[in-house]
Amino acid sequence: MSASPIRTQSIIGHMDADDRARVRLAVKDLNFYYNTFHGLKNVNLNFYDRQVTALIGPSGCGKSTLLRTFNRIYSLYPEQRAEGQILLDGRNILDPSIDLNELRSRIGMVFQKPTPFPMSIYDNVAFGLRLIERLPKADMDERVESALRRSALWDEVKDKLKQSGMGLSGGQQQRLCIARTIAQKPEVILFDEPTSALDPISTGKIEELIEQLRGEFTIAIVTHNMQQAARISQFTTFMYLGEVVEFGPTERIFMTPEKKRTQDYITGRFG
Amino acid sequence: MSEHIVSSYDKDLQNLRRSIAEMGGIAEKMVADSGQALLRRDAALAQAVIAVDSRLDGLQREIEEKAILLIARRQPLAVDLRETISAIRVSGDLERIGDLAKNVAKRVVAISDQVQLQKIVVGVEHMNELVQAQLKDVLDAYATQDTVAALDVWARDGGIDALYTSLFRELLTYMMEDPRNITFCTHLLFCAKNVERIGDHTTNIAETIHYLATGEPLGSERPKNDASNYTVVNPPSA
Amino acid sequence: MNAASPLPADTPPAWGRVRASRRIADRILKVSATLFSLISVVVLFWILGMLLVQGGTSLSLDVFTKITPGPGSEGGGLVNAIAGSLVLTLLGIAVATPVGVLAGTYLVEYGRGSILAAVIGFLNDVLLSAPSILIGLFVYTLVVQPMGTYSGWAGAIALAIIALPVIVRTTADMLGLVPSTLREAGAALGAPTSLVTQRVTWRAAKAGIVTGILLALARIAGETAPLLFTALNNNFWFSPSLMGGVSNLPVTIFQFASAPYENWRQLAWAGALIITVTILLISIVARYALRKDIVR
Repeated sequence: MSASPIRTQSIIGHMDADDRARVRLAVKDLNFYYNTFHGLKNVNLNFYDRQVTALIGPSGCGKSTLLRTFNRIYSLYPEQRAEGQILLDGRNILDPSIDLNELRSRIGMVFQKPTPFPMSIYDNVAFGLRLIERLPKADMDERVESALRRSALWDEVKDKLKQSGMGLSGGQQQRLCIARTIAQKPEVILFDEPTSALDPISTGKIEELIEQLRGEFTIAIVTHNMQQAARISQFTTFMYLGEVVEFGPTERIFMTPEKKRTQDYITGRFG
Repeated sequence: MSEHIVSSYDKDLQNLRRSIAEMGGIAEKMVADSGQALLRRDAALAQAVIAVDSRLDGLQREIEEKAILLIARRQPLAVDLRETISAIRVSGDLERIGDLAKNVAKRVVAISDQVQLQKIVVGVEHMNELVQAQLKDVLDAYATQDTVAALDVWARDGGIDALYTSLFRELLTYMMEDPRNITFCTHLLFCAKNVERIGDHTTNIAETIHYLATGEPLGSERPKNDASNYTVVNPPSA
Repeated sequence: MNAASPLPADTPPAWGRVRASRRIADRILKVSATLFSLISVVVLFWILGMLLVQGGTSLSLDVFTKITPGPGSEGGGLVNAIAGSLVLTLLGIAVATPVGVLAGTYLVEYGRGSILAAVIGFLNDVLLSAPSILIGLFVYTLVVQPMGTYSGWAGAIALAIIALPVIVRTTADMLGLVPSTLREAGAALGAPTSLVTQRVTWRAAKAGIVTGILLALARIAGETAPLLFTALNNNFWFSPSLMGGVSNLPVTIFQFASAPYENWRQLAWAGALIITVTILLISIVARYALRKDIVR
């Protein structure tokens, strides 16, 4: 790990936002309801292959709701439903025939609060892996190690793999959750405010990690921290009251937003 | 633009704007006074111009500090970030304008008892007046973020350049006619060059205004009529 | 970085601004609360002290080796009653635990928000406060009468029915305390609900659920009323098939305490002490388990 995990070479976004990249996840005319509340209104949006897309907006604007439609985690709650289309590589994941367990192993999610399971560090990482593959012990060990290495956690936990995952610090727990997710080799990773419960150093490490993961995964991240969105994403979507107000390369959204609402929000003039 | 949720943020930005306005006022006065001092070869006025420059330098440092502090403290984005960066750039241009006016004033002190070629002094003064107008307009445009006015200044500067080229020719001719004119004419040439450079800084400010308002740099090359770089005047064959 | 404006030069407000009546009201509440808590604690220690004095003097090796004496006979112990109580209580908890834990799991993990779950939850809470004699009668009608005999089985069933709502409620409450993000995290990896429940949610609530079971155990260890109609009681060793009356501590205490024989009354005190200490120990273990879970 480098001495300073917080990158400084680029203040605003990345110069390499590439909208010619393949569209991995396409949202078409998506509407979402909690009982009768209309949570998402006609959302149309693309998520590009191996690019980080940040979702920003005030609390209750629907950004987390949107994220939670991608792995249909909302369906745990019977009063929530989505209408429209979400195409993962052309396949509509809102279709009732889609196997949810399969879908969720393809689209991983990391939550706001670290959610280690009450089991050993090793078992935490192996948990998701065991769902989709039956591996001999040696192979399993290798996959667990690889996931922990790629989550920049291996050096910190290699001597205590049998200890409870609950005993780690908040930042380590969050990286453990990331390891658990990437061990499944998903295609898309959803981050729901992954650093809002962490200190700045842990936040830096997670950001560094996301930056590295970008080479392999399509990433969507909900964040309340606009500087974070500016630092780590290639594309940014500003949402307000369940609608997408503006979408574009991060650099443009943060330097020259087209919509007044976007500008007001990112410069702290809302309300 | 509506106000920030954090009102002290607005205050910080207003402070920046106020300091820029103050710098602008001082720079304008320095340019005008240096022109007057040249016209009347008024060494006392020239000394006053030289003395006031340190105030301008101080203000520029202050603006830079305020802007850096604002970036560190507020992490400005979009229009706020552009305004902060613009303040740094404009204060730099104004500081240079002050330096150039001071340089003219120093030369006025040096040549105040020299041979006089009032005709050509008037030419430089005319250039100075045009530049003063440009400076005033560009500062107004900055205060109101008026890109149209800024673009007008930007385009107008070509006239100054043309004027400078012709002055350049004229001065070379005087120097060839009589070597005793050389000291005076060389100083005057530098004065003219300084005034022309002040014009260039006004166009820099105009470009900054365009960036501030639109977020885009001014793409195309500015029309330049300064041909003095290529100007050659051959001595009359003796 | 504005020039610091000088603070107003006036004097700070004097101390003692809080109104006297406020302070007095505060004092009164504090004193009365302390007083009444002392009263309740005194009563409690009185009971414990009496138990220790009376039961302690009656305690001897005989209590744990000899069976309960017949009317008019000398000496005797409680060994058959202790053994019977152990068997009945453990049987009862063995029946109630799987049913209770699974029912509690249904309420939280599967039935959340459904009318059925709401109804079950409500009825469970009613059952929780149902008089235990009623449950004894219920089992008497349903088991003892058809079989034509009292039995340890009937007693165990009655105790299980008493333990059940306690276990259901604590299981449901403890599972309810597991943050939903943990379930979502499990689901987000593609794990079906059953697996998330077994591998994640139960584990997270384990200490709480175990505590609930221990508390239910403590509760049924001292129950008398439901056993009166079901396991009955007698002064002999019970048959291994548990058919016929099965001796047990609570009913033995009930019968011996009001008997005219001095040795019976002594044994009743000893039995009461044994039950109390056992319940105390179980409660302490339960507390410790829960504490460990919270501190983690």
